[in-house]
Amino acid sequence: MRILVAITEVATPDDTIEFSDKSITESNFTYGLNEWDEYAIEEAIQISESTANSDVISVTIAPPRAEKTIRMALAKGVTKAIRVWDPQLESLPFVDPRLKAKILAKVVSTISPDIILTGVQSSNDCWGSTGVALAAEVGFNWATLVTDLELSGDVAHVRRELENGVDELAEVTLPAVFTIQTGINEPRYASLRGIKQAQQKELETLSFSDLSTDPEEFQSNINLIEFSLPTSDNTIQYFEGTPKEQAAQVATIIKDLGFGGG
Amino acid sequence: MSPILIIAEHRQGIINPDTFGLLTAGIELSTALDTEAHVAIIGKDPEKLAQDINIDGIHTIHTFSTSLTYNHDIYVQTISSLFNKIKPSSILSLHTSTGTDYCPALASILDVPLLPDAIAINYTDQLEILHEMYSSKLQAKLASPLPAIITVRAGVWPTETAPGNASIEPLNISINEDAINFKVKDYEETPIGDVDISTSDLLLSVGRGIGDEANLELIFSTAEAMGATVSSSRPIVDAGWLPKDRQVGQSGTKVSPSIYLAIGISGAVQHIAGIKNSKVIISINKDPKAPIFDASDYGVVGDLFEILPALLEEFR
Ligand SMILES: Cc1cc2nc3c(=O)[nH]c(=O)nc-3n(C[C@H](O)[C@H](O)[C@H](O)COP(=O)(O)OP(=O)(O)OC[C@H]3O[C@@H](n4cnc5c(N)ncnc54)[C@H](O)[C@@H]3O)c2cc1C
Ligand SMILES: Nc1ncnc2c1ncn2[C@@H]1O[C@H](COP(=O)(O)O)[C@@H](O)[C@H]1O
Repeated sequence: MRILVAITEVATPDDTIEFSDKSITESNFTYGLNEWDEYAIEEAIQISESTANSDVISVTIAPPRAEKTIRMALAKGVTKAIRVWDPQLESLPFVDPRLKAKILAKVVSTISPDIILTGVQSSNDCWGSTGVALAAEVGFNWATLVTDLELSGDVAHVRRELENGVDELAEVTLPAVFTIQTGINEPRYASLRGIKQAQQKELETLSFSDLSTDPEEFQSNINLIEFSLPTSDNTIQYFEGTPKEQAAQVATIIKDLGFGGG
Repeated sequence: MSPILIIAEHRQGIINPDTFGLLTAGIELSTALDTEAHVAIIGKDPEKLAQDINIDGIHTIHTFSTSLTYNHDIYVQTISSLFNKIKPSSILSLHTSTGTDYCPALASILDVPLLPDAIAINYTDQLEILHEMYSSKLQAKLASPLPAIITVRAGVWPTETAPGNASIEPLNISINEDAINFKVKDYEETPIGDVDISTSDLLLSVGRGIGDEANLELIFSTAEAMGATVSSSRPIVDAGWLPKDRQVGQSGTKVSPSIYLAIGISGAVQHIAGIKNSKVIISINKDPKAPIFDASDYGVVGDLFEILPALLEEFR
C-alpha cells in the first residue's frame, strides 16, 4: 500500500502580525507542522505499520525554509518526502486551494498512491478545501472530517465528525482521499534514532517544470486585494491591575450574577 | 446577469437554521448583481423542505428528490447539471461539514474559482469576499472572476425573513449510480456522561493554554469552589484529558450559560460558534490579540497560572 500524505508548514504569529496591504512580514513567525497534518502523518504511519509492503510519501508545497519541518515528518517514520516550489509561487501572497490541488495532483500522478491523507485545514490559509479539491482533480473518492479510518479490501469505513456532536458512519471505495480531523489518534514524537535516520532519507524537490510541460496551468484565479486586521464592534471591559486585583474583579462579576455564594 | 444559486442545507428532514443566513447572503449578492436568487434543495421530500425556505427575495427553488441521506456524489452530479442548465453567476453554500465536503470538488469539476469561508461578500465591479487567515488574526480581501463557488460562514448574515412566493421547479436529472462511491451507513450522537454542559449555568472552560494535564487540577478546584461545571475547547478532548461531552463548539456542544469563563482559549471560529448564546463571557488569556476577546464582555490579559489561584482564593 502506498500512502501519500500532504503536509504543510504553518506560521504561528507571535502576538501581532506585521503586514502590508499585499504581503505578510514573516519575521515574527514561529514555523511548524500544521496541527491537522500531525494527525494525518500519524494515521499514515499507523496504516503502513499494519499493512505489508507499505510506504508513506509526504508532499509539501513550500519554499526551502520548510525542510526542517519536513525532516520532522521523516523522523517520525515517513519514508520519503517531496517538496514542490517554483519561482512562480514566490510572488503569490498564498496558494489558493484549487491551485494547491492542481499542483498536488501532478505529484499524485507521478507516485500513484492507493490512498491520500490530508489535514482538515491549514491554520494559516484556513481554506479547509484542499483535500476534496485534490480528490476531484485526480478522480479519487473522498471522505472528510475523518475521526476513525478502517481499511478493508478496496473499501474504507470511516467515522466523520459533523456538527453538534453528531458523527456519520460511512463507506468509501478506494482509491480515496481522507481529510483527517484532530483527535483521530495520538501523534507520536520523533525518536532520537528517527531524527538521525531522517537525515539520510530522500527529500526530493520539484519545480513546476518537473511537473508539467505547461507551467501556465498553475495560475491562480483568485487575487488578493489587501490584507487587513479584523475589525470588531464588540465592547469589552478589561480588568486591570495585579493578578489578585484582576481576580477580585472577575469574582465580583460572578458573585453579582448570583454564583459562588455571592 | 444570470441568477445566483444557493444550495440549502438540511439534515434528516430539517432545514439547518444557518441556511437562512446563507439565503440572506445570496439574496444580497443577487441584488448587487441585479439578478435573481435561486435555491436548490437536494434530498428527501424536497418540496416539503422548499416550503420552509420559500422566503421573500427567492425567485425559484429547484428541487431534486433522492431517497438517500446527504451524499456528496449526488450533490456534485446534481449541482453540475443544474449549473449547466441555468449558468449561475455564482454558487453559494455554507462552510460546514456539508459545504466543505462537496464544494471544493464541484469547483474542480466545473473549473471555477473556489472562495472558502467568506465572512463578507461584495460586488461592485468584481466579486470580492473577506476571508480570515492565521487563526482569525488577519483577514484577506479576495477577488475572483464570475462564476465562483463561495462557501459562507454560518452565523454571520442576518436570518430574519419574510414569506415569499418562489416558484418550485422539480429538476429532471438522471443520476449515474455507478459514480456513487460514498455511502452513509448511520449517524451517532456523542453520548452524554455524568454532566450535561448544555444545561449548566456557570461554565469554567479550559483551553490549550493550560499546557499540561496535571494542571487541570487547578481548573477543577477553582470550578468546585465557585460551583461551576468544567468544559473545554477541542485540543483538551483531542489529548484525551477530558471526555468528548465536555467539548464546547461547532463539532462539540453549543452552550448557553449565564456565565462562560474561557481560560487559555484562543477563540477559534469553531469554538466561538458554540458559545454565542452565553449571556456573559469572561476571558483570561495572555495574548492581548486573542480573538476570544472579540466575543467577550469582560477580559483579563494575563497569565492564567497567576490569576486562577487568586480567583480560587476569592471563593474559599
Ligand atoms: C471542522 C472543525 C471543527 C472544530 N470544532 C471545534 C469545537 O467544537 N470546539 C473547539 O474548541 N475547537 C474546534 N475546532 C478547533 C479550532 O479550530 C481550534 O483549533 C481550537 O478551538 C483551539 O483551541 P484552544 O483555543 O484551546 O487552543 P489554542 O488556539 O492553541 O489557544 C490557546 C490559547 O491559550 C493562551 N495561553 C497560553 N498560555 C497561557 C497562559 N499561561 N495564560 C493565559 N493564556 C494562555 C494562548 O494565548 C492562546 O490564545 C474545530 C476545527 C475544525 C476545522
Ligand atoms: N502547501 C501545502 N502543501 C502540501 N499540502 C498542503 C498545503 N496546504 C494545504 N495542504 C494540505 O491540505 C490540507 C488542508 O489545507 P487548506 O485547504 O489549505 O486549509 C492541509 O491539512 C494539508 O494536508
